[in-house]
Amino acid sequence: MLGLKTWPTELLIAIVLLGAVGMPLWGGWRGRLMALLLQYLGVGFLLDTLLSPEVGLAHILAGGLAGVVLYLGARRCQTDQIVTRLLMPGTAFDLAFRAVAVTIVALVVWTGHRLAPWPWLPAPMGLVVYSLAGASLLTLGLAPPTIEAGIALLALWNAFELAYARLASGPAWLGLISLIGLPWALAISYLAYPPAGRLEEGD
Amino acid sequence: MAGPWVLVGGALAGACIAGALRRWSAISALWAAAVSLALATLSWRTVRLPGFAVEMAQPAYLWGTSLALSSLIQALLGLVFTAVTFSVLGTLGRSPDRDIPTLSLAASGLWAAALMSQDLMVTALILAVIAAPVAVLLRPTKPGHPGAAVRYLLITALAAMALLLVPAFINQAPLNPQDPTPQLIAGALLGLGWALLTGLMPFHTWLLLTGSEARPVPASLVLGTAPLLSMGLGLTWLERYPWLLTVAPRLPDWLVWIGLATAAASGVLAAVTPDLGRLWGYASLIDLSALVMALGVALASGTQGAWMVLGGGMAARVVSHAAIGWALIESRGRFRTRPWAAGLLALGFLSLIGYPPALGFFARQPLYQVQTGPGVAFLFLAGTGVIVGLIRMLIATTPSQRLSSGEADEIRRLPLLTVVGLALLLIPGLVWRMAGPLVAALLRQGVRGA
Repeated sequence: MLGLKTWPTELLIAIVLLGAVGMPLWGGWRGRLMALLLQYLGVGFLLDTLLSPEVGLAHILAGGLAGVVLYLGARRCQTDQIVTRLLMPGTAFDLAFRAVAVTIVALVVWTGHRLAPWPWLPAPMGLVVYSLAGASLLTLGLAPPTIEAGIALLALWNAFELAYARLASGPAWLGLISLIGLPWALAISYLAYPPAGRLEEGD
Repeated sequence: MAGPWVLVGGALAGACIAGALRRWSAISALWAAAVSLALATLSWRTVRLPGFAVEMAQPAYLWGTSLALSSLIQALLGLVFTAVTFSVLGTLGRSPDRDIPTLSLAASGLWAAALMSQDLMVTALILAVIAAPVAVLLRPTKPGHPGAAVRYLLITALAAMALLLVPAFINQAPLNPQDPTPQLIAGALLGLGWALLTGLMPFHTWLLLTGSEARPVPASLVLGTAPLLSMGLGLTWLERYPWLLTVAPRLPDWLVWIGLATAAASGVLAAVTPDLGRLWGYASLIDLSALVMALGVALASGTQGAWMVLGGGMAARVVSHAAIGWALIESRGRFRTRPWAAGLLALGFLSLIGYPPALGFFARQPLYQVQTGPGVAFLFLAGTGVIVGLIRMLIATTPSQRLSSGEADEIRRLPLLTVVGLALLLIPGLVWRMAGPLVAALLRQGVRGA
């Protein structure tokens, strides 16, 4: 109906993989949020290919809303200025460290994809699932600020949705699973905002 | 048979003594050595692998109710205790946070819906939604990473993923006793989801951070109810999928062993932890360990006994956490000048680890009356670790500065608050002991009459 099936699958997979690699590689919440939106876009189109346009559209809309919520939350609290980080983002050493970490995780992902493919998914989509899961776990492992941890959490949920697409009882279930990201994005935005001074006195 | 246990005891002793000598006090080192020696001695004398002789010795503790009614009672208990706890803490603790009642009641309602739901996918989705209000409740008091909240979100997401995958394996093929692989995978996923939600080691870190980071009121609410309601979910799954005990007949034994291992590790770590919030988390883990053991024991004779164990645990757990949270609010970290708060804190911890005369001791009666060999002794030892840690914490608190008039008023109010706290801890236990058999008899008569 939306004509999304005419898109080449290889292009969609490339979009998601770009988002997966970019998430741990790009420092700062803006880069990671862009990577997450790329992932949502690519996974939405892939869901359209696997199931139906409605499911894909619902996924992209839910991702867009979650992205807006996270953007507003991050703009309000400016986490980069509050939380000091060990690796000093933006420096060459930080980028080199991330590049090495991404390479190692990519090797693990490729090995996992070859040794344990997902039986109910086409092989390239199995690789996408592994890549998204590896990238999100790596980002979480880098102990990022709250907003970026939330972005990684949503990326992990993205990977699960793609893996679960063929197992769900119906498209309505997948739509509901996509919507779970919204309350999580709201909670993360709330948590990222520094608490008021009165709370430091106890309760 | 005892050789490996002696080795484990020795390794534990070495590790803990090394840790204690490096950073902490000598009393922690002594405690670590004592618990390791006791582990080794007990295992030498009494532990007989592969399991314990598990049987319910007192069927009078069981309520003669149907399983559906038991589930309803469990859910209502959760709601009532959450509401009562909030009311007490919100009124007497003068909480300024308006978000706590709304969020806690929303989470309680969702938990009740999850317990009542007959569909595993619905349950998983509800749990995923619950994570948002609970994470907001766990917001830290100081700027920085809200570690407990983010970890809770991650843990719940992983649990929801595991639970959503279960129906795919259950529906794959009917149970074949010769090759129950799909059912085994489904059972493993259910167990993983249950362990994640309950906060068993090694998925317990959010529990520890909750005690350290979150405000005392929401911390006591979440610590007191969330893991226990997850246990109730596990029981509903056991009732709904009876093949679980067919493909995993040793499940009761595993639960007893998991409880023992968690209690031993928590006791040792509690004795050497440098933070009161983490000590709270470890005490909570010991309480969870006792409940896991009790569930294993009760499951040997059916899920009804296990529901009863959870009902008793619910009352003791929520009230104990409420007392600890309350004491933390009233003391504001200055226990030397506020001995009543320190006493209430100690009583709350005693109740949580199951020591007399607090409510937790009465709630564990079903566990103490069954043949669990050294299990109960392990629990007492683990509880001693918490007491050692607590004494160190209370001694280490710095003397406060000169008190303002408002603070002096609060101190004058503390004896009254402590009496109320004692009543909260003791009266439910006494009522439970006195009215429990009467209620059980009435319910049995009602069921027979129907």
